[in-house]
Amino acid sequence: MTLPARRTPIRSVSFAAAAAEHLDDVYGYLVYLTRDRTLAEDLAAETFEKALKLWKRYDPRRASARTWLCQIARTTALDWFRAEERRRRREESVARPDVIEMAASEGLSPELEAALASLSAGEREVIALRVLLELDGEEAARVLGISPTAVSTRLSRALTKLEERMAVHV
Amino acid sequence: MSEPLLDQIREAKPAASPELRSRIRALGAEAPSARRSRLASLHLRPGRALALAGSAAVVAALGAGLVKGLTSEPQSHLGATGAGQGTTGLDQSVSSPTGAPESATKEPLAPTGNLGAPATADALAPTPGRLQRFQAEMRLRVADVEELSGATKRAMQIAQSLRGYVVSVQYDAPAQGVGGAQIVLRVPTARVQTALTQLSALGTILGQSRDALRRAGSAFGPPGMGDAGPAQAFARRSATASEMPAPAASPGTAGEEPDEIDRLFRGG
Repeated sequence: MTLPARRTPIRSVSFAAAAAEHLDDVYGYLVYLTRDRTLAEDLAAETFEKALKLWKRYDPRRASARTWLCQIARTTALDWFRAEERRRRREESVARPDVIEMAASEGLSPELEAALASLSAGEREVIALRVLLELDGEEAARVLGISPTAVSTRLSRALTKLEERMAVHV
Repeated sequence: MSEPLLDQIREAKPAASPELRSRIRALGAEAPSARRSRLASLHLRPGRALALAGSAAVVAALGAGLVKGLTSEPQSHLGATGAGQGTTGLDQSVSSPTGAPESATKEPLAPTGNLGAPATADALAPTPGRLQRFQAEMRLRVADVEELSGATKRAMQIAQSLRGYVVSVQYDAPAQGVGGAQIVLRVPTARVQTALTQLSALGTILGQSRDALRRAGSAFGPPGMGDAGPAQAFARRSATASEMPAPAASPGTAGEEPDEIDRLFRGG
């Protein structure tokens, strides 16, 4: 499958401009990753706070601002879930943890939403990066910390699975 | 997979709420000041003082010694609450400026005329609403215990000659074995570079680090903890040569286990 890549041209941008331009990208990515819009908002805010602190280290020659921000978003989400996992382990004996459910996505059919929800986080993540954000394979690989080939494989499997789940729901 | 489905995903891209958008916009508005204050480190900052802390150690058996220096520049009103702590031996032989810790909390150490002078490369410029702190560490090696003694005295003299003062000195030069000294000095911000240059001439440089910190608010450390607290803590921590501060980690995820995301995210 060939997906068009939306490349950001290499240029020096200010943090404010990059944040304004890529807020929806980062937020959308986090929504797909977490299946929780409220949490995605918190993580997006934290992502940009981190990004502001690290902005002087951002090198546009190495990655687009969008890729760089997605990397930070991923790290932020991972950190949050690691902490959440520790907390959950502590509390599991006391109470059953809440199940995170993706809020209804405007514009998605219930079937597609259910199919997306049934995918693993890693599968949703690669769909978010390659389909939703339209990153190319190399950029997505940089965000995920895997090879472009692995991205391609993961995306192919995710889309196949999504299609299968859609067929079940339809 | 059918293109309409992909289009549906693209078209239903979640959009950030107006609240989040304004929050990020406000964050973006902070960016210029952050950059400005970074660049401003090249200019003098009136009303600021700089603490210079140093330590020295001598391995007498090897005929070698270490001299460490740590400079820090907190908001002047934070002062040197720990000034005078641990001052022994040589510290007493060199008189500190009158009322240095207390006066340092109220007045800049450098003369006003100098603060209005052209900027030097090592001074910090003010950032409205933010405190700034500058610190540096220098480790030097001297040839023997006698040189350590001389270097320690000279380091304290350097601080005084630069209109700074000695916050504390810990000196230990046993007849045998390892000796050492830790010197905590404070000098005006505008003279940091001069101080470092002069201190570096006291021996062989083993290591040097500098750090500028900025924080919003009214204090750097816990309430009641002056600059000497973190300065001394840092000096203690860095007393071991191998414990130099590590560089900040990259924000990327290169070292992450890619599949960890599935393990961490429930429902995945």
